Amino acid sequence: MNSLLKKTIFALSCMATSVTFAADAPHWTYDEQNVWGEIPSSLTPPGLPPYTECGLGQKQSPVDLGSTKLVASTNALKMQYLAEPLVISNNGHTLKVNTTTGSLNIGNEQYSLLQYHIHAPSEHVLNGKTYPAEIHFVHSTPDGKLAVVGVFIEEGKVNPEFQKILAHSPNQVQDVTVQGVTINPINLLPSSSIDRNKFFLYSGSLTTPPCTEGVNWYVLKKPIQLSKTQISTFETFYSDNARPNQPLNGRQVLEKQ
Amino acid sequence: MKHILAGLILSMLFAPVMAEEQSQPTQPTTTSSPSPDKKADTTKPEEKTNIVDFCRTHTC
Repeated sequence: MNSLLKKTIFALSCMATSVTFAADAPHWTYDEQNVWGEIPSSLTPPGLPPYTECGLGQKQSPVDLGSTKLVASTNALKMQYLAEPLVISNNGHTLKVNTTTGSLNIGNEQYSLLQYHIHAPSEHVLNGKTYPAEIHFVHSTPDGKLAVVGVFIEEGKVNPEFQKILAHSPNQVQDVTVQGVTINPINLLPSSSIDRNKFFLYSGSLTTPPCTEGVNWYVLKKPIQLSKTQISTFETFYSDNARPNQPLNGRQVLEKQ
Repeated sequence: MKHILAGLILSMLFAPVMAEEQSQPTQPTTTSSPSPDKKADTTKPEEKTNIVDFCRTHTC
């Protein structure tokens, strides 16, 4: 009897321990996207909208950009990105470069560049075509309006600026400030300002929890190039960190040529 | 006695699940009724600020 009681207590202790570990684990993974919307508020960062938007939202991202409506004119994008010390975060979901400078002007509105990060394969697709990767440049206005510029990545020439990210990214979840190295995100965009103003535009959401809507997306039509080795090197950090396409639900994707 | 202990373990295993099911709030009525635009407006101003801070430090 005593033996059985001890075994029972041990089993219950193990269960309690595993619950504790589960609570310390990352709150979401790409393998469990179907339950992002069910993550309880008790496990999410305080002060954020509930993650239910991931499951219930009707204007979610990413989308297939293939069905578009041409627009003759819309506000131009003016990226004013600057070189700054390289600060990289391997955050368990992607490689993210933190920024403190850089701005994006869209019409009369000025957005600050918050950070940029990479998904592989691309999250947005074009008529069903997926690119090897996609960079998201995340911007906000002082009152909290978000605009994300998406840049497709195709296989081609080496991009020296991207190599800085690959060369200095930590293998574990960690933030690092790389001494003596600067990076200018303008070199991760198409080189021509004309190409930087040919884009798809639609209203969507964050592509990761809390999947908040009201995000204006500008996905550039012209991809940038990385070498095959650079793409595969990124994939040694993260592959399949992409959310699948979400229904448009009547939204119109605009195309600026 | 073994049966009693087995019953105790089973009740402890299922009690949290049952409690969660009971306390699970009914899904917000936003599931089907409001228009997407109206739903997008439900983000509170302080939440927008928090999302900006969140985006600065997390993937988003």
